[in-house]
Amino acid sequence: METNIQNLLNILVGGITIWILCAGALLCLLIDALWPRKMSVPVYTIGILTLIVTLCSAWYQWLQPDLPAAQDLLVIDLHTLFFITLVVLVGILTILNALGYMQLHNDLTAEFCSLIIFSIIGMVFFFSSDHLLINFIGLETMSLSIYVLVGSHKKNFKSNEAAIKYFIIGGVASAIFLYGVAMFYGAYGTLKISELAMALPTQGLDYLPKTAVAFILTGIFFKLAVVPFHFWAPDVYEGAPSPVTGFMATGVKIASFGFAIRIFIGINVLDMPQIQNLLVVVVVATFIVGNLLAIVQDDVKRMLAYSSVSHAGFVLFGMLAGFREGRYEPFSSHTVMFYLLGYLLMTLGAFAILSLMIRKRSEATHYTDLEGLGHSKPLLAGLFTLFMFSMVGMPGTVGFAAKYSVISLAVQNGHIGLAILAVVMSIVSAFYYLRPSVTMFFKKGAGGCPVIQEIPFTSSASITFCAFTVIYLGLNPDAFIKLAKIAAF
Amino acid sequence: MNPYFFYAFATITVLMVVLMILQKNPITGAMCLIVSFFSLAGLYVLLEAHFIAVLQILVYAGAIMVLFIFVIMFLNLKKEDLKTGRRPFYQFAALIASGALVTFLVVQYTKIPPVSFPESVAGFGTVEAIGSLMFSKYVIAFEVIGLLLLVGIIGAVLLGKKENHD
Repeated sequence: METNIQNLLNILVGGITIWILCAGALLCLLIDALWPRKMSVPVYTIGILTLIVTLCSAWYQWLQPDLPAAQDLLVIDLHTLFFITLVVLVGILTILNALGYMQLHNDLTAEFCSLIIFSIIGMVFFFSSDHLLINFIGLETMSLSIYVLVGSHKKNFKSNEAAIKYFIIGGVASAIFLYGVAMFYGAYGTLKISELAMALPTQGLDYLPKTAVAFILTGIFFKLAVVPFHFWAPDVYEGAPSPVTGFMATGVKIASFGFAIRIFIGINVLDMPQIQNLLVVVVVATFIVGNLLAIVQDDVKRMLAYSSVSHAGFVLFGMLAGFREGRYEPFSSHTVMFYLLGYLLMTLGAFAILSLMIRKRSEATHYTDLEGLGHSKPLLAGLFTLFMFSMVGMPGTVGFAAKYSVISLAVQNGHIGLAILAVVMSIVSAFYYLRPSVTMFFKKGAGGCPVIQEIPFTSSASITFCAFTVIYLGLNPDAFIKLAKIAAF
Repeated sequence: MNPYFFYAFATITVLMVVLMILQKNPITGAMCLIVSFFSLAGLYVLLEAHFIAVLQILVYAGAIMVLFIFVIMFLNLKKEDLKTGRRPFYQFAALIASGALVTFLVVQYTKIPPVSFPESVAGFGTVEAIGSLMFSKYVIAFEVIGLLLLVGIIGAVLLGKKENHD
């Protein structure tokens, strides 16, 4: 019994960041239940405060010289703490965006805030556990909250369609993932990643674990929306409310990569040539399809959906670039982590601006809606252009530093062909990333009111933060690359 | 595990699930699903997981199926509603993709060397054994599933609630 209490205490102290999140989410829910429809703004404030406290406690744990040893089901190491920082940052920016969005659309529901925090809790369990069972439960908590968030525009037909589509496809993906997990259990009788690593042979995997790896990869690829599994992305991203789209495009991908890095470095399956070939096929297909389809879109949100597909391909390319002569070097995952940080900032900045676009009480993100915005709101249009430049990878922005670190790693490790493809595709991407800016500045609007009329304070706070960090990290990436290097395995 | 019983239950399960997909009438499909749930419970009994078998029947065959049938009757679908547009290309593609996956799995299955599983310990699969594991070793999993269910409830309320403003 004593050991049990000790165990519980360890879990409580070690996982304090997660328990703060849980308490905050429940508090938001409770306040909304006690004073319905009156306390929306305080609830959002509590949500943001919770996330900030989580960030501080993660930082405090980071500074602790010796972290608590790996607990039974929860591993709080530097890798986990780095990814917690990323997803909590996503959460803060999303809640700020959502507050602005909901003031404009005049439907402020407090559940939105607690669902975002619940989703972050799911993400944290998804990548912080050493046990595939907990990983799966985390994945489901994350996904279930997002299905609801996608459908939270109840009267909008597109939002309903997107929610159903995402729910069914995501359910199938989860089932495939779970099938892979079950195969691991069938082969080795354990679900702990550290025990699986001991049980797996170092050379040449058996058939059962090979199939298991393929199925788990399929589940992750669905969540990442890389190319053979990207079909749901544009419709769902278009139908979901803009802040939720930003949340999905960043948070889900960050959490999935956090999990992918943990499991694949943990059990060393990446060293199989088949897995490497599979990754090469997926990366090449994602680069080509994601970038070319983004060109033909007429809606900024759909364009950003395809752009997020191609960015996921870029991050996967970062994983692939870590192979030197057929072996993955765990240390090189720091490029992936830095890329994710940069991607998060520029994407959420762009979605903060998209969240403000409203016409006749509904979202207006078609290219024609942007016409003349450069004259009515020049500063905002300029910042949007900055985020787009960063996505292309213009020097001086974080996009450049991130892409540069991935490509230079690839060249060092001898993946020349893929590196050339990545550069070519970045140049192609300039075409569709600059189209919104050209529309904003060089096309006169057809009269009518401009698409952005008022800018709520919270939105301007998140836009300012993103713009500042995009430039700051672009000019001075070294400090943060160093942080990512410490956090890499 | 008795192989005859295993193959009998496994065949019934697979057959019923396939029938469920092929049925035009949703109620008949739901009935097929119930039978497959029962034979799945039989498989759990063969694995000495008696508690899981009981839960399977109580939760799936009991609660969830009642909900399914309730929803089907509530929707009151007519014959015209059930007609789906034929898309030969997609059907063909789906057939090829799923056929390839099944072939792959079958081929992999034949290559698996015989695995010997350890004998189950005394008291395996009882309520007591599951309960003590659930509240000691897997207490985090238990708590997170609590959160997961809470999210499900919030989602159902949020999406199903009537809007009373505007």
